[in-house]
Amino acid sequence: MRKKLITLPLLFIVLFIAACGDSDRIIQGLMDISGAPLEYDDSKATKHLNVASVCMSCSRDKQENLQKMTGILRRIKTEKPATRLVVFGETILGWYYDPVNPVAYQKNIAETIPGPATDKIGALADSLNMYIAFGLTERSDEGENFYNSLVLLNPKGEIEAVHSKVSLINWDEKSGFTPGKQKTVVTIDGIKTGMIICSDIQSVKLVRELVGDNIKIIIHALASDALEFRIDAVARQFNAWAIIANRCGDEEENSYSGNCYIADPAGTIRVGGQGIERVEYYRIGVYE
Amino acid sequence: MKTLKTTLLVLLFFSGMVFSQQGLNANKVKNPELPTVSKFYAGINPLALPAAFQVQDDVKRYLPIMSGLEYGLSVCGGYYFNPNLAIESRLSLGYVNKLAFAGQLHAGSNYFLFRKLNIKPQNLYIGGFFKLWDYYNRYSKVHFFNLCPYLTLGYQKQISRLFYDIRLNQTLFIYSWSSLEHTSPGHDWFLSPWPAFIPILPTFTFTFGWMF
Repeated sequence: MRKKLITLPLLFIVLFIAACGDSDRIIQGLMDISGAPLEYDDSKATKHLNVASVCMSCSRDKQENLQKMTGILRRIKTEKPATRLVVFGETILGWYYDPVNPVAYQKNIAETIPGPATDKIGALADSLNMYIAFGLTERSDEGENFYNSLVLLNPKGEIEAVHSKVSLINWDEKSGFTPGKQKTVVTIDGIKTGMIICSDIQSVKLVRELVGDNIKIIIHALASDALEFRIDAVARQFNAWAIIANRCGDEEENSYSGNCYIADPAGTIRVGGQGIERVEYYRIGVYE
Repeated sequence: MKTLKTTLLVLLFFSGMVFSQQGLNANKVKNPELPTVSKFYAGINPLALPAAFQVQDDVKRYLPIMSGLEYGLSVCGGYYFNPNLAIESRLSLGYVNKLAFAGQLHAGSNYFLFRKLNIKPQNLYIGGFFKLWDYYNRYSKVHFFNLCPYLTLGYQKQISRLFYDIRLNQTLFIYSWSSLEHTSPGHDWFLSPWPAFIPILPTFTFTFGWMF
């Protein structure tokens, strides 16, 4: 009897340790999205930024995607000429994950930064007078490493910042990506802005540092199948406006929800939806 | 300051609700097959403890459905006014993940309708609770407070001094407020935290404890 009393707790401890995972990650769950939408009053905000979040389906072909991006950017300028920042999703120049030959596919569509894609979109950023952020597979200058990166082009067409995904998931590793090492913070029209890619929201180090930097906007490019939320955990996580840009449609056996939205720092989703190709617009108000 | 006042008002409301239940003692129902003396009970939710730890992703995401979205140290205490009616309070304190800490306080009562009607299964009960919780972002130092009523359907079995309790909880409505500047409270019907994924999502609670 006494032996059993000792064995049972020990068994429980062993099972529990076996179930333990990586210690430096934030795993979001239902509790993080539980709550009623709050009212966030930005009517007296001291700074404003007109932003657009693009939901796009992607072809395997890079040139086709670049052409589609060009069309969307021109349409945004026509529909909402005051737009200053446009955000596209993660690795938007191609499929996020090729299940057949992931490494070879990503190598095939990879580019250096600067490279042909940033040159082409940079020229548009210059002519349309806007900041443009988009995800791509980045090849290092030496050609040895590949990164899942998010590039931000400024209205002069120059590269303002490049963020490489820090917290890689299984598919990134299978695609041969090397993790990035650091946070990326930029200033857009005087507003401090952080840049992250998809599962970077799980990095304790990155989140702590970005919150410590007191960013006002978080640009979040992703490729996700998650359906739309009642409240946004990302904005609440960073205490900042969140611009979430995703992709939609099927890529072989993988489907993406097209859950794109813009949420205020209280996590209330101001505009958003899922399922189809579209652009979500919003005028963000920031208190400095 | 405004948040503190609101929190105090909510706590006062809970206290009032507990005291008002004492009037029900006058309606004590006598059932010859069951003990009629008032009883206290105390218990723990054993699944809440692993829910607070850094377990594997899927376990971390879905285990809280089985722990009633309770994390870490989760204890409950109750009192039987008569064999048919118990009031209960629950306290849960723990880390939701590496980012957030949640403190939860529940109060409400369970009613053993079948005992009252003297039909089986007599250990089945229904109830109504209020839950107040504070979701605290450790890095931004922002609190998100929530208050919600929820219904329970459960089964409580006593074995000598010990008991176990299996319960289904369904939230109905939610009222939220925050310490974040420039925000005002919000409210909404709330049958699931993620309605686009699953429109109605009850949670389960397992409790083991002692009666005295």
